[in-house]
Amino acid sequence: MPFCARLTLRTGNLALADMHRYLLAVGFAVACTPVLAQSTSDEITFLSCQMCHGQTDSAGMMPVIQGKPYEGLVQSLASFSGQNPGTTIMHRFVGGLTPEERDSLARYISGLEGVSR
Amino acid sequence: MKRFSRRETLAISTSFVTGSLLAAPAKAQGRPRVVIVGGGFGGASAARTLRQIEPDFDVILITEAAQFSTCPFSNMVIAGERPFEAITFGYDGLAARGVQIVIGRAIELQTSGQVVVMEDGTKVAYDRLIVSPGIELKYTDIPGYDEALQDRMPHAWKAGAQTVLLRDQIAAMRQGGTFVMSVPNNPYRCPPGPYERAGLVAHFFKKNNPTAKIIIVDGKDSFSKQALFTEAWDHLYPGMITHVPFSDNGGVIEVDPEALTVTTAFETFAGDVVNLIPPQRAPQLLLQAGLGGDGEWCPIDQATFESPFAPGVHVLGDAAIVGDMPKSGFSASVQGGVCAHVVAALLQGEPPQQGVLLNTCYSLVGPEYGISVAGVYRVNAEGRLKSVEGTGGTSPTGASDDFRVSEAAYAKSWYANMTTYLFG
Ligand SMILES: Cc1cc2nc3c(=O)[nH]c(=O)nc-3n(C[C@H](O)[C@H](O)[C@H](O)COP(=O)(O)OP(=O)(O)OC[C@H]3O[C@@H](n4cnc5c(N)ncnc54)[C@H](O)[C@@H]3O)c2cc1C
Repeated sequence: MPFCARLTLRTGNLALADMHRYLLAVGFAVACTPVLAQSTSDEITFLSCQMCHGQTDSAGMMPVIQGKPYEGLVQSLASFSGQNPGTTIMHRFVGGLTPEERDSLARYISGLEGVSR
Repeated sequence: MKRFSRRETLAISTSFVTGSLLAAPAKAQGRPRVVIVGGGFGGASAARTLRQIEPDFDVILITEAAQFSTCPFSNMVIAGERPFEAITFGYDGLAARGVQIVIGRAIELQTSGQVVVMEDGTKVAYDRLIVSPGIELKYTDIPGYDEALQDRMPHAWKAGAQTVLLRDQIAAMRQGGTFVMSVPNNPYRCPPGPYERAGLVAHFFKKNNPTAKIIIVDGKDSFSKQALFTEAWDHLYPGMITHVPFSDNGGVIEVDPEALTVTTAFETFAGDVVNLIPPQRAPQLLLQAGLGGDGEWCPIDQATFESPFAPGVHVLGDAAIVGDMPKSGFSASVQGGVCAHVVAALLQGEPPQQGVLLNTCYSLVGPEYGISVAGVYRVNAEGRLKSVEGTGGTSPTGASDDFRVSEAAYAKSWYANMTTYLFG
C-alpha cells in the first residue's frame, strides 16, 4: 500500500518532516513513497500535548515545546519517568509511550515551527 | 503568519453564510466536504484541526448559537471568581481559518441521503459528518421536575443563562442558608464537576456567608478524586460540606421546586438554593437517527469514531461511548483532533493512523487549590480505546499547599491554551 509524504512525516524523520512542510506550503500533491507503517503517529499524539502546551504564544505556565531542541525534549521525557520527576502531571503520562515513541515524538516536536513567547 | 490561498480567502469571505447557500450537492466542485454539528469542544477542535491539515477541504460547522460558553471554569463564574464573559467565545477565529460557520439548529440527520436538515428547512449535504452535540438533560426522569422549572432549581450543567442564574441565587441566599446539590449516577458529563462546584461555592460562602451549609445528595456511593476532594474540603472548609452517598439516601424519588425540597427514599432535604443536576443522555438528534442503537449513548468504532449504524458519520465527545475516556472537554477536544485526522485520511483514500490520546481533568477546590486526574489511552488489539495500565491517576493526597497552588495555576494555563486552540 503506498503511503503519501504526509504519512512519512510520522516516521519522525526530520528531513522528511521539513520536506513535508515545504510541500504542504506550496500545495503540491506528491508521489507516494512506501514506508513502514507505525503503530502510532507523532502528529496525532501531539494533538494531546498541544491542548496544554499551546500551539501559539498564548499565556500560561505550561512551556511552549514546539521547535525546542530535540535533545532537551527527549531528556525531559526520560526524566519524567524517573524517581523524582518534579512534575505534577507529566510523569503520569510518559509511561504510556514506548521509548521509541518518546524519541520519535521529541524529534517531531523539535521539527515543528517554533513559537516565541 | 501563513498566507491564505485564493481559495481559502474565498472560504473566509463566505463564512457565516446561511444554510441555503450551502445546500449544494456534496463534492460539487470536487472538494471533499465535511460537515460538523456542534461548535463546542469536540466540534470546534475537529473543525480547526481539519482546516489546518487539509486546507482544500470544505469544512462547515453547524452550531446553535453565535456564542459558546464553556462548562470548564463555569464553576469559577458561579463562585463569583470570573466574569461570565471570560468563559464565552465566538466563532470569528474559526471563520478566519476558513471554517464556514452556520448558526442554526440541526433537527434531523438523514444519514442515508447524507444531509443534515436544519430547523429552517434547509439541507446541508456532506461527504462525511462529524457530530459532537454534547448532552441532553433528562428533566422528566425526576418526578416533580420539568424543563419549565429549571429556573427554580437550576442545573447549570450547560453553561449559559443557567450559570448566571445559579451564581445569582447563591449570592442572594440568606445568611446561614442551605445549598442542596443533587448529583446523578454515572454516566454524566464531567464526573468531578459537581464536587468542584461544591468546593468553589464553599469558597464563596466562606467569604460571604460563613454559616451557610452545603449538602450533596448523590446518586452514587463514590466519586472521582474523592479522597482528594474530601481532604481539601476538611482543610479549606471544615464542617461546611456534607456528602450524602446513595446508600445513605436511597435515591431521589421526587422534587418540589416550589418548596425547594429534594425527597429521597430515606429523607427529605430542604434547601434555600437547590442545584438539581438531572441524569443525561446523547441528544435526541442522534438517537432518532439511530446512532444510539438500543441505548442512550452512541457506540462507535473507537479507532475511527465512525458509527456502526451509519457509515460516514463520526460521533465524539460527551454523546459517544469512547472507551475508557471520560466525558470531559479535554477528551472531546483531543477526540475532535484525532477524528479530523481520521476523516482526512479516509477522504484521501488512506488508512487512518492511530495516536496516543491523553486527558486531564483539573478541578479547582478553591481558586488557588487545584487537583487533577489524568489518563493515557490507546486503541488495543480488540479496537477498544483502553486506559494504559500503570499510567494516569490522580494528584497525591497529603501534598503541600505549594503543590495545590501550582496545580491551580496549571489548570488556568490549560484553560487559556485550550480555548485559544479552539476559538483563538
Ligand atoms: C460544571 C462543569 C464543569 C466542567 N469542567 C470541565 C473541566 O474543567 N475540564 C474538562 O475537560 N471538562 C469539563 N467539563 C465537561 C465539558 O464541558 C464537556 O465534556 C464538553 O463540553 C463536551 O464537549 P462536546 O463537544 O461533547 O459538547 P459541547 O462542548 O457541549 O458542545 C456541543 C455544542 O453543540 C451544539 N449543539 C447541540 N445540539 C445541536 C443541534 N441540534 N444543532 C446545532 N448545534 C447543536 C451546542 O449548542 C454546543 O455548542 C465540565 C462540565 C461541567 C458541566
